[in-house]
Amino acid sequence: MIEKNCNQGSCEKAGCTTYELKRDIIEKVIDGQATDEEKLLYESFIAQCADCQCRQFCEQEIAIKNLLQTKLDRKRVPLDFVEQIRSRIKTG
Amino acid sequence: MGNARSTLSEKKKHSIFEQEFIPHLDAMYNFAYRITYDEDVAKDLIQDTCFKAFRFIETFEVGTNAKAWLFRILKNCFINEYRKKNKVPSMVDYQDVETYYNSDDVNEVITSDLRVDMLEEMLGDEVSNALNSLAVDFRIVIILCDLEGFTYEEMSKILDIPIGTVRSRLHRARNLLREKLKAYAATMGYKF
Repeated sequence: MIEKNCNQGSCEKAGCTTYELKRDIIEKVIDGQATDEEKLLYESFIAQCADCQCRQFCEQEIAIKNLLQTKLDRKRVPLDFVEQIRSRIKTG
Repeated sequence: MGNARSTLSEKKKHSIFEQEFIPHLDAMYNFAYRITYDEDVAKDLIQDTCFKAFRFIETFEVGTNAKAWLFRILKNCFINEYRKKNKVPSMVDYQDVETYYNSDDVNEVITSDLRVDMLEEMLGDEVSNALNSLAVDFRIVIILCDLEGFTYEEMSKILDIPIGTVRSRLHRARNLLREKLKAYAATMGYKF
């Protein structure tokens, strides 16, 4: 797993995976789709990499997701339109 | 299995429609609106999706993921019927924001609360504008994943593309979004 650093010196440590691999895991964790093993890997390398690129990537991914989830209005389907659909489905 | 399904009574079909499909109409409408940016087109899409879902209701297995099933139909309706007709989504107009800042209204007597509300609304639009400026394929993966919470596997089925393609498309979409929202995110206190 010790192949190359993730573009910054602070990541040249034993057990440090490549940036691409980390990025892949970070995305899975943020999207809630990481396995337990991947979550452990994530926690270990995030703890090791205080200021490196993968940590920055992680923070930016979280920020983007937060902005999308908090700043975009959710459009609700108009109630009369729901009734319209119901009625059309019933009448065939 | 096929025979059993074909014996669904009309009453049962309506019951499935009501219980399994209707609860997802808000999410479907939100998705349709975000990919078309047109309320009327979004309504047409939802209507077509509902009709198709009802027509093929016997192929839906009760208890499975109705939301993903409906989104797949919705996506197909969008691609087959609307995208091909060149119903290009209208773009949110940056001019509105510019006009506001250049207008006399900015200096007019206005309650601070109202101004804060207007500003917040515009800042919200920043995210909306950034999302809207993405190509529709990128916008779709962002919405499915970040707003609707679908898994990569579900997205793969909805979009008919391999999981690897879902992941790479999502990654590229977020990179584009990150670039567009860099300045805004910084003002919101995020490290960029």
